[in-house]
Amino acid sequence: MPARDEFLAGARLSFGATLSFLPFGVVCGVAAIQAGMTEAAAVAMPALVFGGSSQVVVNQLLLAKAPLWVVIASGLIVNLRFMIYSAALARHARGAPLKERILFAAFIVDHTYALTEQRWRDKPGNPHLLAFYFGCSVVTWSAWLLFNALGIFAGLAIPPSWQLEFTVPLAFVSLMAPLLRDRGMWAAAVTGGIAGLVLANLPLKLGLIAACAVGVAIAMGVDRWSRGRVGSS
Amino acid sequence: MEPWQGWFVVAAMAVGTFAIRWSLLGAMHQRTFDPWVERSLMLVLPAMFSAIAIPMLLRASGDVDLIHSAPKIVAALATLWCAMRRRGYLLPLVIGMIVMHALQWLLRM
Repeated sequence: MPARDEFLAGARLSFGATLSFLPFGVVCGVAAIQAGMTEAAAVAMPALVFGGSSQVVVNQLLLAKAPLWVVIASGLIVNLRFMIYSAALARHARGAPLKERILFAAFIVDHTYALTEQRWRDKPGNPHLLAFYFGCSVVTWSAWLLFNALGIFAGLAIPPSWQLEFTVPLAFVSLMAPLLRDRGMWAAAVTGGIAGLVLANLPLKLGLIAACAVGVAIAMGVDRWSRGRVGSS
Repeated sequence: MEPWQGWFVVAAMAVGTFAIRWSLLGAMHQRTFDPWVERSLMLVLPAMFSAIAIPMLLRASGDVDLIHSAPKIVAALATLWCAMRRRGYLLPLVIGMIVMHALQWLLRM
């Protein structure tokens, strides 16, 4: 299959899935305006950061008047998972020119990563995987920007009775659910959530970072305990 | 919030996020992490998402209020159940929203 066809295949596969981000994108746009950002900065955020979860966290903390370093640190912690994707995708980008690798890095999100890995499993050794990835990326990035813009420029016209903001926690739940496949992941989710609730009133809005650290530490302990049990049985 | 603060956050987030994305793909693509580091990075996602979502569900008005939050808790559980069984994000979201609105309507009756 030529590179052009792979690009189109990526774009086509991505198109259906991106529609599911419509409410999430609109909520992100509305939240940015409610947090006090100018319209231009609110548009620049999805265009340059391109990470819905971190955008929500940043907007929530800005709304809560958290210090800027806490806002930025929390947003970046949410995006740390891209490091895992970056490591996993590096093997597909080996040998690619620097310019292509920079573009490859710029569009790493949950969705482009998952579709590309799926394509690799379906077509091992595919020589045009980068073209497929860029097809996914163009559609996903454009759609994300469009959905955010809808929220920024028209979101406040949505009746409050729809409670569209409730899609934010639901989106986090639905993004997290497929990961809950072992005890460690469950432990991270349960303890992270409880810690988030208990530590919500920490000064400087540090509760989120602290809760994340508590969740990961306990989950690592659960992992170790599970391995010990398997080893001893 | 001053406009420069918004732009500062956007710029810092853009640079920081790109650095995270580039870290292994570009600069260190020949290196591998220790398995425990890789595992802990994977655990960040459920811990962080849950730490964001659960307070939003239970502390909507500032204090933990299980009675008034009940429709949202049930809706989140319905979303979780659906998302664990099906690929895609849209259907779980739609189901969660329908469950919440239906329960709130029933409680008002």
